Amino acid sequence: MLERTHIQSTGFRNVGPVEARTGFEVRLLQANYRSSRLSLIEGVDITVDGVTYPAEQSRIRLGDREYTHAEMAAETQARLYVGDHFTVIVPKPGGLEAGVHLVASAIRYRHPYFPPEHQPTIARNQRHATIVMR
Amino acid sequence: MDHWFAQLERYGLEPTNFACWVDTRIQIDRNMSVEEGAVQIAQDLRLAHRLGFKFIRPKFGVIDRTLTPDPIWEGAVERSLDLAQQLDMMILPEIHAPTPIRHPVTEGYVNFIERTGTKNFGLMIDTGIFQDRPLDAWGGGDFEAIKKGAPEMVYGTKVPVDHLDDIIQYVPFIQAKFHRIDENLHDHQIPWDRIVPKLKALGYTGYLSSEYEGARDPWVAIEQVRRQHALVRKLEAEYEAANGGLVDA
Repeated sequence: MLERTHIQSTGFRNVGPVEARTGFEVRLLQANYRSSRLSLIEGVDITVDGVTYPAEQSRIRLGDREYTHAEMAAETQARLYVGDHFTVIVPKPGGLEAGVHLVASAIRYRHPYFPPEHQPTIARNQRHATIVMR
Repeated sequence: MDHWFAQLERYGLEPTNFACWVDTRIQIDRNMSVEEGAVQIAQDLRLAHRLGFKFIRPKFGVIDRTLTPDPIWEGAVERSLDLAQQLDMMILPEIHAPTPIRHPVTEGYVNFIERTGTKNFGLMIDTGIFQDRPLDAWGGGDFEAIKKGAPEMVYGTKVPVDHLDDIIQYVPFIQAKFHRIDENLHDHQIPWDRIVPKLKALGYTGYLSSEYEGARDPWVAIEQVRRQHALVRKLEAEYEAANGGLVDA
């Protein structure tokens, strides 16, 4: 079951081999009231304990497909539907320490039907979330 | 599809307007072509038709604060008119705050209808344009930031209700936007006491479809929509009582 917060408790984990973590990932809820082409999502910045990991270096996983930042910008047909979740994969050698972290997300949505000065519109969320295993 | 129609039947619902978008700024460095816009509208017309809707409301991307649509709208719609006619559907862009009725955006749509003579394109009016008193809550986002960034959205576009006279012939559907109706059936932002008599006087026979955009506390919306329905029905009955029954019966 998905939580109402954009940032999900589940899916917050380190990635890569246990002794040589390559990064971590965060699962997010699609945060808008309508579906969105991937090309309308200009990036997802993740901040953990005050350190920001910019969208340009991360990848996005939707279902079994992964997209780099440039691939997202070019993907005009695939959509994130209402109620979907997706995962942001953040490179960080060694991963995150086990335990509770303060996690923030900023999803940059471009809504063409909004006036230009409101683009992108940033959907923000912040909460505590727990890494179970180093 | 069977499930959709079974649910409509079970709850006594009628599909009316299918909300859709023409995301003109489809990529950060590229806008949609007329052809891409037409493909999007065709897809939405076909889907809406299959689901039993009568209208689609494409939200075109805009190029300024007054919501001037991307210029591709006209070619994209024109290429879609034959399909809309085949499907007996109407394409209705929305006149939405802060765009007033007497404005180049609205005039552009009216000119298009008059130039093409089409019966498959019209206007949707969002009653938010008649808001004449400030909001006291915002449906989402930072209220103080919105006050600074989009003051007209907070204080109201204040379109005179009489301006409906100009365009009502092109309006089959009204998005009945509202924000707060109190326990005395008093609306704090939208002048229903002027809108409803005006619609009656004009012989409006189209739809009013509630769109609650007020405080998002749990369960508030259900009661708010019920109050709006009660208020609109009350004003309609009062108008009919004062004017000797139905105007256009």
